[in-house]
Amino acid sequence: MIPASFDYHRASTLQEAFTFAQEYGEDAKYLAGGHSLIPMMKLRFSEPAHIIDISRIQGLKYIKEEDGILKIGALTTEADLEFSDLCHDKYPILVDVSKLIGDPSVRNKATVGGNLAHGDAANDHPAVMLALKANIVAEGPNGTHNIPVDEFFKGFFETALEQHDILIEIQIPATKAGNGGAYNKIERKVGDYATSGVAVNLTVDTSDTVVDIGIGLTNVNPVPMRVSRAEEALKGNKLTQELIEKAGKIAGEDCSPTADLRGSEDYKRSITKELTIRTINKAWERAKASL
Amino acid sequence: MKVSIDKNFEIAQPVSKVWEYLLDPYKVAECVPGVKLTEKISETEYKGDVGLKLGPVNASFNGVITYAKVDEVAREIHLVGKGVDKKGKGSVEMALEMKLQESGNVTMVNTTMNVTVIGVMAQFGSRLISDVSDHIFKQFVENFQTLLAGKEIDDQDKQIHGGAVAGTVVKSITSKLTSGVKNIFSKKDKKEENENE
Amino acid sequence: MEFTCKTSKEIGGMGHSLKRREDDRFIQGKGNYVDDVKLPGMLYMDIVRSPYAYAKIKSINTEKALAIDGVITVITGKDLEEHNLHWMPTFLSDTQMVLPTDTVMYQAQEVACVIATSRYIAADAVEAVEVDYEPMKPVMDPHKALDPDAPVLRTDKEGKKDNHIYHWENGDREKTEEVFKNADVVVKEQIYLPRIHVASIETCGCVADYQTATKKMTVYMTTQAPHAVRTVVALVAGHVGLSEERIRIISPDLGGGFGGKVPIYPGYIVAITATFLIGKPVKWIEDRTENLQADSFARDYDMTCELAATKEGKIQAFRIKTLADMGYTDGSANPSKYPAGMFSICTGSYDYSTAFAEVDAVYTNKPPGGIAYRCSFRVTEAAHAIERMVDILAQKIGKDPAELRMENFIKKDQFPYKSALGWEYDSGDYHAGLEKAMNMIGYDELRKEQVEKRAKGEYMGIGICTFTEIVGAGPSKDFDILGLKMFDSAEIRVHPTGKAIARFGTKSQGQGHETTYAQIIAEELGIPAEHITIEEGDTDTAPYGLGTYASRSIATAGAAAAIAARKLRDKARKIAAYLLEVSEEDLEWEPGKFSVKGAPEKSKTIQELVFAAYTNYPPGMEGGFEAVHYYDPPNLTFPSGAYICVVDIDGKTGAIKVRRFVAIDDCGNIINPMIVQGQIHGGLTQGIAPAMYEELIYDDEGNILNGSFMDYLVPTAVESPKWETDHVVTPSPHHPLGAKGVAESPTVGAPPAIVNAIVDALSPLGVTHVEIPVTPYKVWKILKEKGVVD
Ligand SMILES: Cc1cc2nc3c(=O)[nH]c(=O)nc-3n(C[C@H](O)[C@H](O)[C@H](O)COP(=O)(O)OP(=O)(O)OC[C@H]3O[C@@H](n4cnc5c(N)ncnc54)[C@H](O)[C@@H]3O)c2cc1C
Repeated sequence: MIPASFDYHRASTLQEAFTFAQEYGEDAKYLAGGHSLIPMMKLRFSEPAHIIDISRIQGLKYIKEEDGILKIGALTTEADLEFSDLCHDKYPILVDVSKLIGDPSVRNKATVGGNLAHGDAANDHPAVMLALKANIVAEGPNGTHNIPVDEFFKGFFETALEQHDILIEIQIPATKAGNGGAYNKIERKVGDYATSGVAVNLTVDTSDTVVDIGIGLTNVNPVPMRVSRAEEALKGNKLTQELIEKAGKIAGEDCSPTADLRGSEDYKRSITKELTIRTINKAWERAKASL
Repeated sequence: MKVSIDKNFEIAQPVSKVWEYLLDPYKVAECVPGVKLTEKISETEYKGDVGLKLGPVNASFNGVITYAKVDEVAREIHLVGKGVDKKGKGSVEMALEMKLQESGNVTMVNTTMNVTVIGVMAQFGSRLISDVSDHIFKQFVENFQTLLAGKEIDDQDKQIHGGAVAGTVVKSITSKLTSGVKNIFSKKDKKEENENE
Repeated sequence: MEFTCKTSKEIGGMGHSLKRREDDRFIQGKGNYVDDVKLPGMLYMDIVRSPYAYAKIKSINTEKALAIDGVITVITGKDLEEHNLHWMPTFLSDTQMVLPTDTVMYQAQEVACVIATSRYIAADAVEAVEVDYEPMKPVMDPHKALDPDAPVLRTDKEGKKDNHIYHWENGDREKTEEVFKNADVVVKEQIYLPRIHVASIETCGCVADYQTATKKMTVYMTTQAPHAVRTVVALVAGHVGLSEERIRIISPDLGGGFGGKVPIYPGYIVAITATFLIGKPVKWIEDRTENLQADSFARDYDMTCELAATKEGKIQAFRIKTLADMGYTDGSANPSKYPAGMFSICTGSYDYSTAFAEVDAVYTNKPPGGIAYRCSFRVTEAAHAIERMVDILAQKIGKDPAELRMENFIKKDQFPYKSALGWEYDSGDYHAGLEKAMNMIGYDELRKEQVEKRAKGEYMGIGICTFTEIVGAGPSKDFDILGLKMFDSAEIRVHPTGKAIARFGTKSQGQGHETTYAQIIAEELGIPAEHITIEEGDTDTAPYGLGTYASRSIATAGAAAAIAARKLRDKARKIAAYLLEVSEEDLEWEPGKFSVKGAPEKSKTIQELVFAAYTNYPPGMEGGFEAVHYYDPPNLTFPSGAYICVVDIDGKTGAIKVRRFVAIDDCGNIINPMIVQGQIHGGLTQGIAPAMYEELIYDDEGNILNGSFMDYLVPTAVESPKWETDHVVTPSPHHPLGAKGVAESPTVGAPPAIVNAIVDALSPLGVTHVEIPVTPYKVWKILKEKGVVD
């Protein structure tokens, strides 16, 4: 539990962070909340020679609506989301997910940007961002670029961020009438990574017809996954329990879980199905309430 | 921890050529992500370096590749790659059994890969080991096909990388691969012994 | 509460819920744990551990490690061998490597120790030690360990031809067979209690400090039994000059013990050796994974149980056959004279006269152990077996499990009761306990609700456990540690101003001794508890005792405190008679003072009498006011409990919710109700742990698959239901305070109550047994097998 030795650099601006990153190249890692990186370093699975602390860069910690977009700064912590009035009022799915991450002390440090940038299919935000159809804004030495969330997750701990990129902002289409989202996960005990997690973001009209739908899954696939087939099955149709059941069934079929200590592949498919059904219902309830 | 993966795939090349390539340890090594041969110990044994990089995770091993069985008549080959972590954290063994069959102009390859992981990686990485093994295997097959086709393997493909994972995301139950993790749960409950197969 | 306090709140004797005085420093972060000890010039030790469960060591190359700046030395088994320190005894007369010279026997076994000037350098050097292993196929399955073709693991034992450690049995085999043959009903089940870990929040460690000038060895150490450790170290290392008077073991504040801090781990011995050889203090503190992976486990009993009964449900006989996986060595921290400890308590709270119990223990390539995790040596296993079987019997004959228990209980007037396997139960009122629990939870209404729920296809279960424990080790006829009798001690010194210090041979790890011991003395002497300082854990100052585990502190040291205090009260009476010029018989005691019968205005307070003991005592009397007592209990004590649990199960996902949990405990007379309640809450949570969450999982290659808190699932407040507790009180007739010990009851009683509830919930599906931990995944598998989910 003692990491290998490393040099610590604190960046106070993005520019400064890029300068360090360019200087140390492959041997360097950005540090945000540190709650994914530091455990790996303590186990010596990861031994970066240089740590570039970006956690104190000003101006990357906010939750705000602007031009019909919800913008979340990368350094926003889980606790910030959990206790945000804006999230409570209009984006309860973000409160759902933050509450389910680790424990209070983890949530005080862990950042939303880090949760995505870490590229771990067991993390909870990726599925939520898939459901919310987020846009990820990255900045590197050569400027900023947008990455649609569907192109963001590439492999085990691998994302579309380029080598020196810093994820600076997450953009989510602002909620409107008829929109409701929910996240839930099944875990072995509180603070555990999901055995399966389901994020649903749903927009219905007054006749309960699905106008828009996003469904993302946590930890039942090598990379965070969108359940496109289920989304297609729902979109444009009037919501019924049969239809929701069908979407759940598809989620169970299309995911690709691996047997591990949490359970067998069949178990994970089965609970993914059930959790999808329940989470769609929860999102629907919220969507109706917003009409 | 043990993971076994059974896979059958086709290569659009004659058996004799596939066989010849498989007998060349340097060609085989080139196709396995992260492997580099450094020394020939005997006709059937080679030393090498194995590097594994998964995002922030790094591991390096001292490896030995052994041709445990070469049966020209049956076109069957058993390759065992053993890697011992350079920092004493454990070891990985990958036993690859391949059987070739000619069918027209293509070669059918029946493969079983048994991966055994011992030490710290098995303790902490259990949730990743079968996915990563599956992935390494897939990348090996792709690289091998590239090489047989007379093309250069991309530098990127010599490391484990994301492309192939993202590309194989939907493993729906209809097209379910015959891969499975050997049961690691209750040793007593015989009923569940094979449930994950 | 049936117990009425004899002392005022100001005095704070028995029955008062005094706040735990140790908490002031804990809450402020001012506790003093081993890792807080920092000595000048201190070096740090870190340990190279084996990644393999079973391997030959071909070579150990320390060159690269030694080349690192700040590395003082690397100690291997070969180095220890030079001093004949490479092996040590375990408590149960087995032997254990300190460091291996040729073979490693379990994953995470200590292979070499690095000593360096900083903790960080030590960790770097660990990675630089090159060990060349030749891995062998480990024996992981205890059943296969006895196969004729299984490799013999303990080749160090001359003539050893298999992996069998011992066979132990108790009871009448033939008579039991006879009863089973003629019984109307026989139920049988294989019940496995998996390997678990105490997972105390503080891991193990020590600071060993050998002073070359004085030739004195001081070891600050995470131990529950400092005196026993001192004696063992003297026995093991006497030949190198460490005789017992030169060894001082200090066990400072402990962050949990639960039995895990009874054994002597190799790390301690190497640190002690290192300071001895180097002459500088050496600190060794395990990290979490080392603690989970290498330190002693608990349970791992595979029990085949059978119960014979009449068709009406009258229990006639119990039979149990057990396979115990001890790991690489029998590291049982069990001081009883029986290798399976108190396992023969397995006949439970029921009245029948025939039973037979046997245990066979084997070696495997797992870490050694067999500690009594919050349990008095295999009582948890025993209680689980009988309490599950009683439910299985009830299910089989279609009788309500509460009713079946009521009909079979030992009756109140049968105590002292001789059990089928030979124990003499001291006291109890099992009917009252279960009745109280049933009333408190509303048993009949719950059963009605269950009928309604079942009609709707919902899964609700009610589980009962009515256990009897056996604690307070122990009478010397049943116990010893390396020949040392299992008494414990108290030494009370009252200062001239009437304030006191008392020292004990036990060692609190969170039990609140600093508060309860003071209350006992306050009860007997009338000196306010807050005026009494309690000290434990320093072998240079405390009287000899065998430490704290097996709920023995109150049963032994607590009794010693009462008797020592009574000796002082007798002295005070003599002084009072002298000062008041009356005879001793004319004096009357009320807590805090002696007065003359019939003339209450003529009295002397205890403070006055103590002062007189230093200033004005009767001619011929010894001055001072001190007493010491060593208490060897005449019998064990037999706490009992009636627990009822209600669960709801999600028929789609298998999720289990413990809706309610009522615990009625009988621990005899209660010294501090609040502390008892705290102990019960903690113990119940540690009971829910093995029932639903915890298990050490190994694969065939010898890997531990959940050797960190990421996967070893210790439940938290979130997983705990609201515990509802109360008591019945049947004082122990042989204990001077009528107390029985309490801290382990809930850990023993909770798991069967929970499993019984889960099985009850699933019984409409034909389920009769589920192995612990019962996880949602296991329940889901049952639901799937029964076609409830697809
Ligand atoms: C006990 C515990 C329980 C946990 N439980 C959960 C859980 O239930 N669900 C869950 O989702 N997560 C969980 N986590 C993980 C936690 O949420 C992590 O903190 C989070 O995944 C990473 O965020 P971070 O800010 O800590 O990132 P860091 O650990 O600082 O960084 C993680 C990685 O991302 C990179 N990085 C970080 N920020 C940026 C950025 N802005 N731009 C580019 N790269 C960046 C770093 O270089 C590093 O490679 C848990 C962690 C712990 C310790």
